[in-house]
Amino acid sequence: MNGQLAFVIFLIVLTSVCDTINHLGLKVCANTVGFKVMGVATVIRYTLRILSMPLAWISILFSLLSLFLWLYVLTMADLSFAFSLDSMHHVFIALASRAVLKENVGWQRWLGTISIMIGIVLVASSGAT
Amino acid sequence: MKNQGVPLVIFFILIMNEAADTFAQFCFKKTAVLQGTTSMAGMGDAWAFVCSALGQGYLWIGLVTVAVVLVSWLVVLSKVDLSVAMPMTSFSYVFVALTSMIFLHEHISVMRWCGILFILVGVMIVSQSSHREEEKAQ
Repeated sequence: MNGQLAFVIFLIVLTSVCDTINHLGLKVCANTVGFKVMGVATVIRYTLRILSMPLAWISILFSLLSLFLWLYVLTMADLSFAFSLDSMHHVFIALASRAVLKENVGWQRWLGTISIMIGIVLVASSGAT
Repeated sequence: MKNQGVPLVIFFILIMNEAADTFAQFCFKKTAVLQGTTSMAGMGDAWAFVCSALGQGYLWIGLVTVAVVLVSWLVVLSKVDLSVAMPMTSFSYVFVALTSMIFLHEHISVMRWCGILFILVGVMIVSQSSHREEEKAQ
């Protein structure tokens, strides 16, 4: 593996980690608020309450970070390469849900995770451009 | 539960969502191409990169598309379960690959196609399990 390829993969991992933090943060906010009835007024109230939480803003910050990291990755790599590798955030989210949110991760989800990881290794070995 | 038989309209919206998502990625790639090769020696370079990216029309088209997709995704989720809607998002891996090939003239080797296929199946399995796990947890 040459240096450039390793650097691009490292940046994609970083992007996925930022994405995971973003999703995790918003999930914690959503869990705190709770949500029952669907309607325009409810959605607005719900959104405002979430935006009043510092954690929501940390999540938004990470999603911005992820966006610009992503743009930088795309200056160096093929879209079909980078987008495929970005699927690793599914794996990270599964791991983080288990570790942080104590969610139940069943065998089916692990099976999917393994399939994604095989795919990532195949795409990664096809080279970035 | 609303699993039985996804209405055709919902199915159509989901496919359109994936297409729009792919279009957003296309716009991001265009932004990156217009930025060209960038050296990142320090924070100054990073800031300059962010500023010049914000000046690209393609970036804003992409971001607006993402916002529209988010809203229509929420509408879909109010009609069908997450375990039904979520696996459909795995199609975006094929859509993006085809878009890259046709519009961005990227060469996709057999090995990369195989990888994309494994990812598609994996994402489908992972997202399909989303509802069941939640049910079990409660």
